[in-house]
Amino acid sequence: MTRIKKISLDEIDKKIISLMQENPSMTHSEIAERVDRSQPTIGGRLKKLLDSGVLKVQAGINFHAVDIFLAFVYLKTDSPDEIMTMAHCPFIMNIYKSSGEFNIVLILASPKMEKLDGLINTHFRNNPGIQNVKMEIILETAKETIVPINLDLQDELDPGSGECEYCKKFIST
Amino acid sequence: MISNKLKLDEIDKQIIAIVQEDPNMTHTEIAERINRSQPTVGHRIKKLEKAGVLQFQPGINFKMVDLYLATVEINTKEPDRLMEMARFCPFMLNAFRVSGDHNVCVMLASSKLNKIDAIINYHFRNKPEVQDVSMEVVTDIAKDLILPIDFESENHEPDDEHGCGEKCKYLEASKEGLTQYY
Repeated sequence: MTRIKKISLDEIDKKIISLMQENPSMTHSEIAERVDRSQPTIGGRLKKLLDSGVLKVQAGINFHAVDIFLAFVYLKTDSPDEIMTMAHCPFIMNIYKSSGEFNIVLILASPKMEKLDGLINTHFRNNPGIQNVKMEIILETAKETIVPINLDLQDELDPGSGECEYCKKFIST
Repeated sequence: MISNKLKLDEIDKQIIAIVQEDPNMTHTEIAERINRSQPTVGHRIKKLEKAGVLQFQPGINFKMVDLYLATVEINTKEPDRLMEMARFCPFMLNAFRVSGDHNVCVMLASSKLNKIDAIINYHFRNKPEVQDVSMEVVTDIAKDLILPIDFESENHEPDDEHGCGEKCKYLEASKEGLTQYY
């Protein structure tokens, strides 16, 4: 298992993160009061958390509010690293390497089901490096699910055509 | 066109694309980029947020922190119960009702793998309504994965037999009358 230079959080970091999640517009002084530390301490901690990319704000489209399709796609593949490079694709929200029989999990999202289906057919089912493909459509989520979808790019592209302009830029074959 | 379905016009789409790239960008900066006035941008963002289309969610980036992340696929006769549990359990980041080989997928996170395992054994594997459970540990993430996390889980020590015991947040919620399926 690869565990790369990851950051450990201490108690103060965790409290700051919890407060920011609750209310992103909270000021440093307000946090300082709640955590019982000085305002400069909080400022320093927050800067560290934000600069390192640990604490981030995700902007995106709310799955509960709009009519979009979300799907998990599970792959059993010889070349997981090659699949990981597809993360730039505007239909792919994220890709995980996983420990199970299916060693790649992708999360796909689009308002157009047929575009996701086209992507899976041309990129995964046709791929000799992929032995098995399994797709599950998400019908409901327990918590709010925010997905950053680039609608402009999705409108332009047709991943099922096999001639998707975007892919050529990023996938080395 | 995709955006027609969502009833978004060109300005909305441009704003959403920019904000997703950099959520910290000011309204003035966005206005400059798309050649509109700052009040227009402010008004549009407010409208999109109010409609629930565009949302800003602070959280931790799982790509950067030393936490274990697991996905669990489950076949259960009571999917609604697991969906409800996920809203209260601090170990469960989210749960999805899915159509496919399994009917529920749960994402869990913790600094300790054995805690995740104990939660899965107690809440999923031991239950008569659950027919199949398969757990997979995420070993690498391709791009930023930003999700709110409840650090309350760090104060829990679940085991296979009792789960989190009296500390269980789902149990607490049921005592307060907030649950339907407990």
